[in-house]
Amino acid sequence: MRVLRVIGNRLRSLLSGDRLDDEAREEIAAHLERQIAANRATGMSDDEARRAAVLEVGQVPQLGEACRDARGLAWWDALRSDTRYAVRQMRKRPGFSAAAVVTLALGVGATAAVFAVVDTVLLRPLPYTAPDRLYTLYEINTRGNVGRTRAAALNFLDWQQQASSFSGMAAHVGTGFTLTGRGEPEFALGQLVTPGLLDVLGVQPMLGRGFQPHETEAGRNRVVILTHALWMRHFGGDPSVVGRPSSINGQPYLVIGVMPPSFTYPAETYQLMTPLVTRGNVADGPPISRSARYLRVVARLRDGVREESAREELAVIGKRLSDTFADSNATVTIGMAGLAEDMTAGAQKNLVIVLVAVGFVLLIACVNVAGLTIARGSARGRELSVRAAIGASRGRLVRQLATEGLVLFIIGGAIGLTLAAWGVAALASELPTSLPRAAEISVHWRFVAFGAALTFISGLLFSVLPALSIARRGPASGLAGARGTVSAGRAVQRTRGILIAAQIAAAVVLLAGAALALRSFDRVRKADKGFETAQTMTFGFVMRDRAFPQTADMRAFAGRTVEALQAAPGVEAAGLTTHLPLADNNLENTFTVDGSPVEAGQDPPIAGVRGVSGHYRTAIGARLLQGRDLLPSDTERAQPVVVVTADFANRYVRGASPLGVRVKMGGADSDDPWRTIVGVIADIRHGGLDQEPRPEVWMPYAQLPDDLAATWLRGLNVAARTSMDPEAAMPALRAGMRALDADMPLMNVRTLDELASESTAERRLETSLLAAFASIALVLAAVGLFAVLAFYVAQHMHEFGVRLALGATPRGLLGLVIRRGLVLLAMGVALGLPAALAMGRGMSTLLYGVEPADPVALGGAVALLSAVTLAACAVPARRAMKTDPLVALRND
Amino acid sequence: MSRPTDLVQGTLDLLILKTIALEPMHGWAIAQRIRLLSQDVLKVQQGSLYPALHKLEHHGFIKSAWDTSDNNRRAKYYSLTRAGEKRLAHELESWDRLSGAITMVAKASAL
Repeated sequence: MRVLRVIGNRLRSLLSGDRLDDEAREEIAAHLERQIAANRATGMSDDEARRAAVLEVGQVPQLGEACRDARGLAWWDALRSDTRYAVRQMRKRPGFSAAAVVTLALGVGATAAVFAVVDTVLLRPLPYTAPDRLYTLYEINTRGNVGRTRAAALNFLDWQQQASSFSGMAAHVGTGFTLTGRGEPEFALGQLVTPGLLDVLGVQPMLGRGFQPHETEAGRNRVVILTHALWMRHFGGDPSVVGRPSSINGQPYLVIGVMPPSFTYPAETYQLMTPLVTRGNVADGPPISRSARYLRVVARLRDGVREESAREELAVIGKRLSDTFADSNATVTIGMAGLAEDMTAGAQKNLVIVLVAVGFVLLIACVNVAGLTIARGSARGRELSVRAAIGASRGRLVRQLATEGLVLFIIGGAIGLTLAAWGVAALASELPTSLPRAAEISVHWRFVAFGAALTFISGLLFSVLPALSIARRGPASGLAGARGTVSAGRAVQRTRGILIAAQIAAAVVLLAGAALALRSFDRVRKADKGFETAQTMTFGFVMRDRAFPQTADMRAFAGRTVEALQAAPGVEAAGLTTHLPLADNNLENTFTVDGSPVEAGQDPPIAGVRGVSGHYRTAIGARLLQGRDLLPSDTERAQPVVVVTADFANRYVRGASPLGVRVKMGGADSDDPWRTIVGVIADIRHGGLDQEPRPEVWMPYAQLPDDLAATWLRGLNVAARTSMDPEAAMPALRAGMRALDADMPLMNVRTLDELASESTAERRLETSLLAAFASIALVLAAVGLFAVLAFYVAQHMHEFGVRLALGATPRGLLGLVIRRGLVLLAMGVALGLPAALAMGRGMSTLLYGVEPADPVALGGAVALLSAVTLAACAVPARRAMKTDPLVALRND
Repeated sequence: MSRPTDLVQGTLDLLILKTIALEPMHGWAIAQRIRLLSQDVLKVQQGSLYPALHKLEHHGFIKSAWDTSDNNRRAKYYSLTRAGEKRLAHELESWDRLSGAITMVAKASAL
């Protein structure tokens, strides 16, 4: 009961404090009256009675205050008045306040924005039921350097049947679909899925239903589930579309469901799902075998089953399969990884780097504001001394100063958070699509909570500490001299000196990091890609089996395409390829080289397979080193020939020249025909501009094995080198394609330049961020140093006057100030360089062709910082130089 | 003015609680009653009476109500709450123990 009473009392004091004050005063006044009356009754005169009573009881206002304190809300009153005072102080010094608020807004805002991204991508659980029980399964091939691959369909089906550790398993693979029947044929990426996928993830369609097991049968699979985005875009959000057929790939597919907007599995780019055909006549779809490995598998661990037991069971199943199906599975084991970690593994390192960098920026911002606060505080020495003299305890002074700082932090933090929230929402769409879960990035309550916590904690830290240092001096010191004594200023100077050194150190780290990133980016740009990206247009198309049932049809179409494109105005060279570089598309196969058998313990030759046609090599500007190009005369009836990259020749072909050597796909006993190497081209960086080139084997499209072409290589990419701006040539190319096939949509229309820059989008973003942070750090550190030196000069004016009077030269004073600045710079650099080295080592994933301790980068960072800080010294130093001794000495 | 030591503050609380345990009264009356009961030995520093009263009320040991006093003026009457009764008993007990201990020490003859 007492607790309730206490709470009630506190609330009442809080809300109607004034009324309680009045009551107390009334009570005390009444008591006083009675005492006066009692005094008069003992014979005192009116005046004596009143005086005696007041002496006895006390003054009403003071007693009123004592009672108010006793009501336990002294801290609240103090807070209110402190805050009011703080706001007033802020308005009196708009320049300082604005600088502090802007600095804090930058620091807090940038950190919160980065946190929003990191939180979504790395920390937030996936938006599915019990996401920590979801795992991805894959095959690991221990032969050669193949490593991890996707799963083959028959293997997956066995896992699904035999593994009891999982309550459900599903598989899927991405492919392209053409939506026809409404205007221009539209191309959309989608997934072929096994029916249990939605159950495994624990999500339900928003409209309609999920897939059913019988829909994996050939002929009964023409059903489709749309994502919310596709439903809105292509079907106008019309709910009646569920239950009606829609034309996909020229066939009627029944729309059975629509997913909720939050469903973006496995990535935002996939817009629809249809069943994977695993039974019946599977010829229309992807191969259901044990060697075509293309399925991504997701599985839910059964309740109560531990991850280790599941792994053990998978090991047993894997062994069983490799024993039973030695041809395909002999060296294959089953791997398992948490779904969330697997999706975000690539991004993790880089995001952490950015987070650490922005943390440094925040640190610098806070330290800057703390330094400014201290400077202003020590200039208020007199005011503080007066306060202390009339009874403010040191704790009270600290509280007041800390409140002033906290108010700045709260205002700066609020502005920063607002800017960050707006920024995150606006820029979420600009993030590279390779960033996993980018679609989920949004402003979230966790972002606000983090921002608020950040503001308060850093605010408390960086307001209380300066306040403590300011309030250290006793009251007498401030009152003694007209301005604070120099010795008292020294302690403050030391503190600020340390703060500045810390700022400079942080700036060194950020500058070094940015320099390393910039140099790496430059190296990547200048690296020899093996092809030229200027003035080249690319796009893709897919020859569907409906329209092109035989490989002969595909080859014929390919040939006609090359002719049409070559004839288009503005085109210098046009060609086709099954795999465009930098387009995240690859097919590798093992090869056997005639005359260069594989030694024991060595890995068999593996190379990327490319089916090319027309003047592809010229179109992308790849260089021919030896031999000849693939020609139109290398048809399916001619002798099989290939062109290989230099890497392939160096690694796998023994002997003087690779020309004339024969290779074939597969192992020594495969039935692929022997193909003769007729040319060698320079290495191609196919996977990415910052990745090492891998060996490649180019074959004429017409000479690709029939089943390989029919299954995997129905998609072709055009590369057309133009004599004019590639965009300007595009309409002619479109017309040419339309003349060949009016229903075929063109996909991924972009210049090779665009493709190249898309492939470095992530690197570019990180480098820009680091550079931006480094610039902010540089400015803040310079401003901080400037403030310290300006204050030093102002404080020591008197001393400078004395020195000049005693014979010092103005240049000597200049040297004094500059030396001070250099000492601080040196301290900061000494502190910062080891940290910069550590940062460099931590950044190793971002570095390319650059060592973490790259002297150019580190040296450049230090040089830039030194130049800027010297410039910051300039103005205060000049002021010192211009000291007029008469004026300085007079102004005591 | 100097702050009362903790010992004095504690005993003032005890005196107040004991006084209004007998009947509810207002501040003036409490002061007079303490003087009377202690035969004038304990003259409560009246400056510390009201803060002590407000503190006890804030902590829920006593409650107050406005009423008309004997001289027809408005006065705030204080009375014990249940928690206050318990606190009084507790304070009395510790006071007994403390004063007993002091007595033992003070009256101990040299060993």
